[in-house]
Amino acid sequence: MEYKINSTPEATEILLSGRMTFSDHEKFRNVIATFDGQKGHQMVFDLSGLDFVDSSGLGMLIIARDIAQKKSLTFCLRGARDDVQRVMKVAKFNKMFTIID
Amino acid sequence: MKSPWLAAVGVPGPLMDRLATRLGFPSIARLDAQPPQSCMLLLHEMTEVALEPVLIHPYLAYIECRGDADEDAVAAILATLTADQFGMAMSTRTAFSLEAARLVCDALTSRAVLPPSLRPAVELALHEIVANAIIHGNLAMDQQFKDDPELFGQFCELLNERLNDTPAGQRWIQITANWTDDWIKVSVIDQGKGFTQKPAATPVDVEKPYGRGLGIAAELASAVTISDGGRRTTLRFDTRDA
Repeated sequence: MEYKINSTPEATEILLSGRMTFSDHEKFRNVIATFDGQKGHQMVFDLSGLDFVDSSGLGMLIIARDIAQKKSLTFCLRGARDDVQRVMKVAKFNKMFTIID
Repeated sequence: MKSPWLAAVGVPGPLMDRLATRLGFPSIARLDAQPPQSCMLLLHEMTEVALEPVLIHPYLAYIECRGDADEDAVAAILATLTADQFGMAMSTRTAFSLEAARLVCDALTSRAVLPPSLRPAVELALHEIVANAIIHGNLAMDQQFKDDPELFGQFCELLNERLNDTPAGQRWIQITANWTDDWIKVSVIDQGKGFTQKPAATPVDVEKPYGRGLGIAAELASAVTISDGGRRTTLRFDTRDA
């Protein structure tokens, strides 16, 4: 997995690409270390560059969401496609996340 | 059953000869483009770059064999792999950085065993089982993901420690495949302590950040069987209508 972070005063956009799997714990640790902002600041995970995500990757997105909530940041996902969209459907992610497309 | 041939890439000649003699496998000194029927391949470097050019050829199995490999362990793996139509075996450390499920699917696709329509399901389900074998099997991580940056960090550190640890990081991960016209079965075998109580296939839609891998695999496969005291998981996919 690769990631890129774009920050504006209103929102932090995290663009993930490649394959997000159990071997990406370390990188994800760096991603969540950047979670900061005033109450209501938007954390947007853009998944459009992701080709594959596994259950550990889904778990990391849940962790990210919960950490955002604890810090009173808003959190959403967008842009999942193909295999990533499929596994999110199997895991019923639409019930757990705000998904904007 | 006729003994398979043994070939190698980058493995010291004397090491391969000792293994071949020990198992009674005829060995091939030089690797030609087309292997003889029923041939196992030892690889010094089990990387995507090393596997890609040889994966499309119909080798029976691909086995990691570094110069400092435990010969008894490699010989034992080679002997068990003779029972399968396809096999791959590597250390936990190698499996962690290799996309093993994707490579196995590439091999099965190039052998016209895996129908393209089934590939995404097989790849994801197999990937989940490999992940469980690495993390919970060989690395014995009972600790789970935590919804807290500090605890998540601790999880990462423990995982890295175990990966670089001996013997945990050097335990084997074995993936095998067998098929007929009606089905494909893929198995993942680890060398962890196993488990006696069958884990409940956690519903996939629970809110926990962990524990949905087996559930996802169960959703995608026609059947999941756990055996060998929890160290072997087999996924069956029906291919007749795929």
